[in-house]
Amino acid sequence: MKLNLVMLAAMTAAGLVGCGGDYTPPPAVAEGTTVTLALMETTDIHANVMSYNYYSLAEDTSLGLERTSTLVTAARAENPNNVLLDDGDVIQGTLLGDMQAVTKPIACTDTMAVHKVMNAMKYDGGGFGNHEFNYGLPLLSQITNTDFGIPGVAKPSGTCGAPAFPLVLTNVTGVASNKPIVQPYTLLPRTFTATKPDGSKVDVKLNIGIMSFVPPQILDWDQKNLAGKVAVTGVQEAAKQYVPEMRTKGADLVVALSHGGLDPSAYSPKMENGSYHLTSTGIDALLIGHSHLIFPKGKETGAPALDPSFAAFPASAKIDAVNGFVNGVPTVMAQSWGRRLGIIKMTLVFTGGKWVVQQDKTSVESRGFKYTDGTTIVKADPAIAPIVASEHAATIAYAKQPLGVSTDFEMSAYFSLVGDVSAIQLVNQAQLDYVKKFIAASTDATIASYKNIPVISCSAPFKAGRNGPSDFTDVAPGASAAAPVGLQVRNPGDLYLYSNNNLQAVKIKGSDLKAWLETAAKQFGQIDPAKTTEQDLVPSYGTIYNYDVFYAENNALTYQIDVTKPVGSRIVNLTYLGKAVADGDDFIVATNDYRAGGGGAVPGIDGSKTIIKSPDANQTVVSNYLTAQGAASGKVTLAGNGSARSWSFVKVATAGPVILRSAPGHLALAKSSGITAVTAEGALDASGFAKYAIDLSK
Amino acid sequence: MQVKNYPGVALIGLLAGVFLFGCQLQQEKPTSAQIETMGMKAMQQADASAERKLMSWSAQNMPVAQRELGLLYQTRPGQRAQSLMLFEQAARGGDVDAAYQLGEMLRVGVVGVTAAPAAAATWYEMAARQHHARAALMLGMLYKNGDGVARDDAQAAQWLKVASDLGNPHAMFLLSYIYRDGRGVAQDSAQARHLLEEAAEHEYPPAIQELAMTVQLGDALSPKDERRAGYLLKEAAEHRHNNWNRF
Repeated sequence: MKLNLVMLAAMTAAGLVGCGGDYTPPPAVAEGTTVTLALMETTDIHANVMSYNYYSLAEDTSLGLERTSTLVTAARAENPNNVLLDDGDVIQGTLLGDMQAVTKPIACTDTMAVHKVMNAMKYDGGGFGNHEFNYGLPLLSQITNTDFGIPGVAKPSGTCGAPAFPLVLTNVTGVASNKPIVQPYTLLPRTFTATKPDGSKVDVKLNIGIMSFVPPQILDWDQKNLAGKVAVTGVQEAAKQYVPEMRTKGADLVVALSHGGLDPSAYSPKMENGSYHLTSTGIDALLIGHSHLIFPKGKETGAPALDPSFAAFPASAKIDAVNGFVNGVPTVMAQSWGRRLGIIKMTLVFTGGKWVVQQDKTSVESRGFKYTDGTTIVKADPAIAPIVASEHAATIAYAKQPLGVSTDFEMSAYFSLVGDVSAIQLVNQAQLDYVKKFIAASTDATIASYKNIPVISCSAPFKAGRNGPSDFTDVAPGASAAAPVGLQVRNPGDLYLYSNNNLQAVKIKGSDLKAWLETAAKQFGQIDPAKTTEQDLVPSYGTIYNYDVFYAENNALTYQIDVTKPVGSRIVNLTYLGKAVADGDDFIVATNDYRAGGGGAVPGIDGSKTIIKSPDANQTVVSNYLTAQGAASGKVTLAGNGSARSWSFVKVATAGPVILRSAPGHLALAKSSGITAVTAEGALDASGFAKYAIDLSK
Repeated sequence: MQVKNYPGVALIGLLAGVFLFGCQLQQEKPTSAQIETMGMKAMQQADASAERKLMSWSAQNMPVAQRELGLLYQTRPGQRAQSLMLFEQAARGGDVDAAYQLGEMLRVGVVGVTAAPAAAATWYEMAARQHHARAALMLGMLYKNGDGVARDDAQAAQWLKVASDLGNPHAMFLLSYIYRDGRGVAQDSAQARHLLEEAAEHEYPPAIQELAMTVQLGDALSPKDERRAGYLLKEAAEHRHNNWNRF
């Protein structure tokens, strides 16, 4: 092809403007000089700073940067020439992160706890992960002290607390500016000790270039925060744009921090795990993350087996999961939560005026807390805890703060399998309220067209004996109208146990509802009225989270369960607004992503009927509802929020005893709550459950 | 490893590369990745010139461009008919994802247009036969629920297996119950647990929760492991921000 010289000249000029000025020739280095260095990686820290679990409020020595720091210190001692890099998903993931970003957002002058610790650990550089966008661009701009150049996203004036090391992001641009929102790469000039061919030591200068990539899916996952503001480029396109520029500017090594796993299928700029396709763009090392895996296989005694997803790759993909090479490029993934430190140790030889990597002298390790002998967990670096002591204490204290609402009734799950809804109704009310408002406010014509379909809700007694007799929801013990109890921030987490669930809604028919209720009713044993020996009403609590209790406003949906009938034919008298529910009736059910997505194998509820996928957690929905009740009236009440019993048993007299196993010592509560079927508290069983007598004729 | 040139040589090489690429755009068909990049630009940046480029490529009967333009129009309620037409053209031209998108649009219906699951099944099947995982999943669910097709547990299991083998975690999860209960397949508890593990590994949120619940108590197939249960739930909680609309 004939070159257009005018065009070439113009492009050359443009190129020189961008990259010509910074280049300085390297100092003279003797041919054959070698330098050995270590690239260290952390990834997916997810705000796990301390070795601590904020859900259980207990120490967890298997994770946390305070122990990663010990790994770093050791690795630095072994490798005096080193850089420490992070691959993103830093700020979100624990209550600590949520508190500093959402609940009590830190001031510009403050630095995120995780960043404070990373600064103390002297990181050399970092990239971004998809979760960095979870809290929105304004906060991200503040806590990275970066002006993204996005209209409407103003960084607070002045210098905000931020990482003291450079951050890079290569494949995200501003829609308005059409420029990278963060510098797409940087060169880290480092002076390392090298060995001359005669064996003597010499200081040499190397430029380590770093770049960072996030999955294009951030635009789906954080649509609300990002749509119309940023654009994402495919990883390969972005790398091809900048790698040559970095070389031109004098990068001796080009390191890609790629927040994505390995997917060797054909390249598309839309792919989520595009890291594999960076290996052909001229990079020297690949530090990956996002999928929280260990790559290559751990070297310590008793290391976990290689993840099956790596073993499944075709040989043609050239993925060496034992030595840590992908398509010839050394590659490491350091799991998550600070549990591992990735170490790529490489030797470069100065040959023909440039540094050339010696592949046979490259080793890769994903080093865990037990690396010394396979059993001993490394000690926490004592320097870390004091740095974040106040943030750590504040997070724990936060969980115990008042929520701003009181209750006049005890919310418990001791008798939820005999009709008590005191721990379930509020969850249902919160979910129902959320879905009704969602539909009313929707700008989607299809969703908006559902506004005349009845919305109902279901939830289950999640904490009802699965893990023994002490494992029951019991919020505000002893609360009464005379002595109401104030709820705490942590209480919504007691009412809605699973913090992983997102609210979803499904659109179903009356026939689906019946099948759903039949599935829930499987939790009951089949009671033989003629039997004179003891019968368990609920033989096992193993899947009690599948006992969905339904609710409609004003208790308009009611049903009965006939436990003398076999599974599949127990639901009778199912009515809505006083009329029998017909197979063809429409309902919208507020539930969680587990159920809507097929959990519990409810017939027809498998993801195909989901109409609302909310980014909000059920737990948050409950918390917000309680807070709103507090703001409106200061309280929730038994009459309004805890006594709408939507279901009951079909009455039957039994010849022998029927029992319900529950925590001992709560007969009085059953009586005062009017759960009349509970008539007596019997002896303890071998596991410590009390055997309560249940009279099914009441 | 990386062979490094002197900077000047690298620069000339780069410029030549850019120049050649520019010429190729004029004279040769763009690659799928190039068309998709244009589609991303049109979608993410509302870039009118990118949209015009897609229109021009669509008019030249490039299925990937027709699909990308269809995706763009899909976001605009007023252009539903055009979107359907583009997807159909692309699907008939061999674009598998377009066939799947067509199935999605027909299956649900919108205001004034009734759902047409039977028509959707045809397009899903076209895509599923060409190894489109989500299309196979959707087709499996149509058979499972008798939605637009006659209910058929064996067909449901078969298509869910196709999707599962292609790496779709939602299908793995549904299929794990199917093996557990022996619906349309021979009952196989070990295979059921294997699929549950796989689905959780691939981050299908209900599978992570189900597996956590299972190992929290332990059973004949999985030992009791409370730490693992805790990790699974922690992972699920952390990832709910990005998994809410992912599957």
